[in-house]
Amino acid sequence: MTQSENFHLFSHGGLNILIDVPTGAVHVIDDIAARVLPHLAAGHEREVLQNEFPAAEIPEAQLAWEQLQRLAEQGTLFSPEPHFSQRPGGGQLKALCLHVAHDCDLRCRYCFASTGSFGGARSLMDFATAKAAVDMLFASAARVYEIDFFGGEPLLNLDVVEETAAYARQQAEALGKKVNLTLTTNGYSMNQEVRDRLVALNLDIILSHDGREAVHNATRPCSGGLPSYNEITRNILAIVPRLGERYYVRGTYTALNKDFVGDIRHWLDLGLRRFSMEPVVLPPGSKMSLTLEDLSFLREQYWQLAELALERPFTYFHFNLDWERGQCGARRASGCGAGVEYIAVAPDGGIFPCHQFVGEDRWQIGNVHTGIANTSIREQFLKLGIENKPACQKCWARYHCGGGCHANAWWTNSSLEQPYELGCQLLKMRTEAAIYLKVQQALSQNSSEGDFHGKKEYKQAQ
Amino acid sequence: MKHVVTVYSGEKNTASKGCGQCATSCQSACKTSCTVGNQVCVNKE
Repeated sequence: MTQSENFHLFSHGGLNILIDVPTGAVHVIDDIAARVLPHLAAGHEREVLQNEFPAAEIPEAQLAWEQLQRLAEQGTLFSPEPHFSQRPGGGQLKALCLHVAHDCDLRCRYCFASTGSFGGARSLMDFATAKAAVDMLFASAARVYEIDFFGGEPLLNLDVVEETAAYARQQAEALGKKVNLTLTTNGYSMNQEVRDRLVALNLDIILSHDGREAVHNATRPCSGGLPSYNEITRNILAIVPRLGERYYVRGTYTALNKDFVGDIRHWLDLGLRRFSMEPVVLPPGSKMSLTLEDLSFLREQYWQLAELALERPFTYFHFNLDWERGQCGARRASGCGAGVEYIAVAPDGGIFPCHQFVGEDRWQIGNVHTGIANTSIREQFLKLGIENKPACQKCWARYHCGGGCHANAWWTNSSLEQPYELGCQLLKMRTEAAIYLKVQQALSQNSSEGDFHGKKEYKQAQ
Repeated sequence: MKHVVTVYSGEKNTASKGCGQCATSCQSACKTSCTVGNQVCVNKE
């Protein structure tokens, strides 16, 4: 890894933002420092400044050189690449995606799960299977577990959700461990009685909704073809005030709503405040597919989203970069835990590396009733960190995604090691916007940087 | 004049092998790309 591959500089909103890739340190530098930086990174002698800057600017360029050099000495610029021989904790099973229903009352046009059936017969999980999955999870040495009730549509099997949640909590308490529960629903059948039961379950809820009425109805019709916006929106607005911060509204944007910030504005207008809005992943050729040609427009959308977050504060899941309690190096290098720390279980008990592989026989690891049959799949996924993904090793965002989504890599490139290019580009845009937002928030709170040239210029420009 | 302001000094545990107790799934809000967002160490709470 060269020094040049261990930093990333981008500019937006009058700020030059410099990231030290291995540590994730973030600096704001002015234009002079931005011009000095490549020379320092290339290992040039300081005398090069005499040739590169007009005489009047040389004293400040010298000063910028010293200040950047000090960052390097402190270990927050050009820091060395760490190496990790294994996943944190060795890769124990910690999370379960329980497909309690392979059926759905919607027919979303972009559904990766074949509108809920995952390519098989429509079916529900019984409690014996859910219990066996929970027992398998709790047999690992982890201390904190996660279980997501997923589908299809899990509300079609709410009795089993309730029974399983109670069992998991009882087991966790008996074992002295912690279990976090979530449920992902389209909200269509979430009537008053169901809402009461969900609130009583005391779990985190992910509510799927695509924003503006026309957008939502175009992508998320009911099984009979009728629009679902009114019913779902009414149900979501009825339950959200009872959930506090224990919810996210989760949308998908497609080629039909590349201006997805309009959908987030719509959610804000509805009074919602916690969102996730993610790009659809579809094979090329669909009228909803996103393409590389969409990137410049989408880039602008992410910048607009960051500005909107400054203007009308809300929580956007993928802007949540926790600088106070950030993760350790090994975790950031290893990325998604699919197939190792995270598995999905189908209604018949079939075990798969994650929800996106469910229904694909070649990726079946085993069955909760009969045990693990194919250990080689776990071995394959165990190796999937950034060190084994060549494309990631030169990417500045590698410690922000840990190598990206394995399923997307497989579906687009038939390779777990070759990341999904469009997804990578979008992730980098989103990460820059997230960092920009954090920097703006930090600068507005910090008045001690009085003579910082870049900030002054920025403030004057406002 | 300051030409550089450090806004975030970086992850202190860069070289840490980790305890392995953190979340590593698509559990929280997103079922397509799980590892950006909510990058929280459960042991720093």
